[in-house]
Amino acid sequence: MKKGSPTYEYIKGVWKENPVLVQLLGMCPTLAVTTTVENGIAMALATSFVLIMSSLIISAFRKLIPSSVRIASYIVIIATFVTLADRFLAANFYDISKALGPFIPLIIVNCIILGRQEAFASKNTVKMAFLDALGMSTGFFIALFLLSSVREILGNGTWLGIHVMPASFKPWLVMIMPPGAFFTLGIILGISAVIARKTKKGA
Amino acid sequence: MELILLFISAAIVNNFVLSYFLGICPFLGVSKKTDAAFSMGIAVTFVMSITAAVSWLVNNLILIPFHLEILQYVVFILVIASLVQFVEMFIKKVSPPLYRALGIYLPLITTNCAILGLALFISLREYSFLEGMVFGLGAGVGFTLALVIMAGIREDLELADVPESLKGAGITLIIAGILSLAFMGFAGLI
Amino acid sequence: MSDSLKMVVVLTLIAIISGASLSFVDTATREKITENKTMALMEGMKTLLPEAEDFKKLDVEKKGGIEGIYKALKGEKVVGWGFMLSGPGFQDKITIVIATDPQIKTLLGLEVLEQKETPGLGAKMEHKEFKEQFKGKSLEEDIEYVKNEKPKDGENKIEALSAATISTKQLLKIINNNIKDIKEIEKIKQELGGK
Repeated sequence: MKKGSPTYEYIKGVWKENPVLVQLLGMCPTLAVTTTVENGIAMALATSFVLIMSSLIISAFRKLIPSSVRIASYIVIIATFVTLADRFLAANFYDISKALGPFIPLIIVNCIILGRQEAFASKNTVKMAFLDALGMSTGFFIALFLLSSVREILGNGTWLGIHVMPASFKPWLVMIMPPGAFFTLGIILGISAVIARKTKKGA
Repeated sequence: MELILLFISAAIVNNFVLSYFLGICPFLGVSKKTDAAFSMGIAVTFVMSITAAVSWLVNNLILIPFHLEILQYVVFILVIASLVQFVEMFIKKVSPPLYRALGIYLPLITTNCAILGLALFISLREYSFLEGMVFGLGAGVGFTLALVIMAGIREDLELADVPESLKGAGITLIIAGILSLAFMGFAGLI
Repeated sequence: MSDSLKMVVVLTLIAIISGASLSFVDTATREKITENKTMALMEGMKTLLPEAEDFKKLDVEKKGGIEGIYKALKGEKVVGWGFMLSGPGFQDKITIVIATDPQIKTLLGLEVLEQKETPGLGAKMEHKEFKEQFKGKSLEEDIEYVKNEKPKDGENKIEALSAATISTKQLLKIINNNIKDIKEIEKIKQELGGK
């Protein structure tokens, strides 16, 4: 796959440059809201919205924003979209909004978003910036989906609220609590590293 | 008495890093050497204390009275970004070696979720000015504590046999999990 | 355009556009959000005071953890009170609504509106069996807790949540302290004295 091709710019975010599993960015929300799959998906979608919209705008106006004020500009643009997403959720999905709490506004300081603006959107066309944002969003979604699935199944016996474990299964409460989040993510990172090494060897 | 409990709660029982998952990026990035960790902790505590004060003032004296709450997030993050700039210039003048030691991590304090998280908690829980300051101080101390402990453990880990795939972030997170578990034991304190 | 002027123009433009869009979002969502917030409260109060036909909010200055005082009315008659109270829990803020008789002497029931306590432990305060304990407790003295056993009949006590004593303690503080404060409010004294 040629670097610079549209497909590459999208696919890289899914695995090779996965924001959470490889770049180790955006850990805070990944650990905090993955207590249930529903919350994990909601956070991933909200973050994707902000990332994609910000990338589109910043890429579109990249030639007009002077370098000296670019960080301040990016921050205001990102914060505006986050406020939008926050209000939208509070108005239409109140329960999820309460469950995610302060982590929605914390999307503003999710290093993934500012990182992509600085590293990519500000230097590429709108089409490429969109694909890059989409790819990173997909990668972020996968990471959250994985982590929250493990935590909800082992910590609550359910998946998306549906009971999936046998009745005799006693939930591992620790999974829903902070230590569980740390352990699970640590192990997932370990497994990702193994897969990455094996595929590099074979390639 | 309440204030002391608030401080202990923020620093230990409900540690910002180990219970609320705030400040993970610097936690993973800077916690390799104890002196760097300690310096980072001090810088963050400093920024947190000022942020607690300024965000409280802006929120309670401007945003709420004028019904501008919709601008809260934009205003808070701009306040933080400016404060970090000032702190950077201040440290550069007052202690160039410290400035060099912290390097890139100083401007990165802006995206440290712990700072914005602090401002948001103070607003959400409707703390008074004094409560906000104590909370900010406690949070900073707790952050420093978590960072320094982690750095100490990682320094020792250099000599241990960590599986290849877990090296770096993997093992750090697992240790963080154990630390988090340990800190949960403090719940009985208050 | 000189560099500094360009900086100022760009930043001002961004600020204006941001402010305008946020202002639009605010107007579009503000009402719905307030509605959502009070919906949980209203539903809670209706469950606790089923004979009430209307809830009138009292215009009282917010003090301590008193978030709202509601008179439960059936026609013109006061059938009880609904108090929305909050306070620090173990993990974060706990918000509850309690219903009392018209004289604020007996607790008719409790509903938890918001809590972020430990799942499986303090979070169990939302379970029916725990909340049921509060029905009929006296508000003329502090409600207390006992651990790992059922309180004796007639005692103004409840059994604490297992392995979540702090959550329990904080919850009781929210009720006990705020009820005391409520009884001190002038308007309330008038309402009670007038009967």
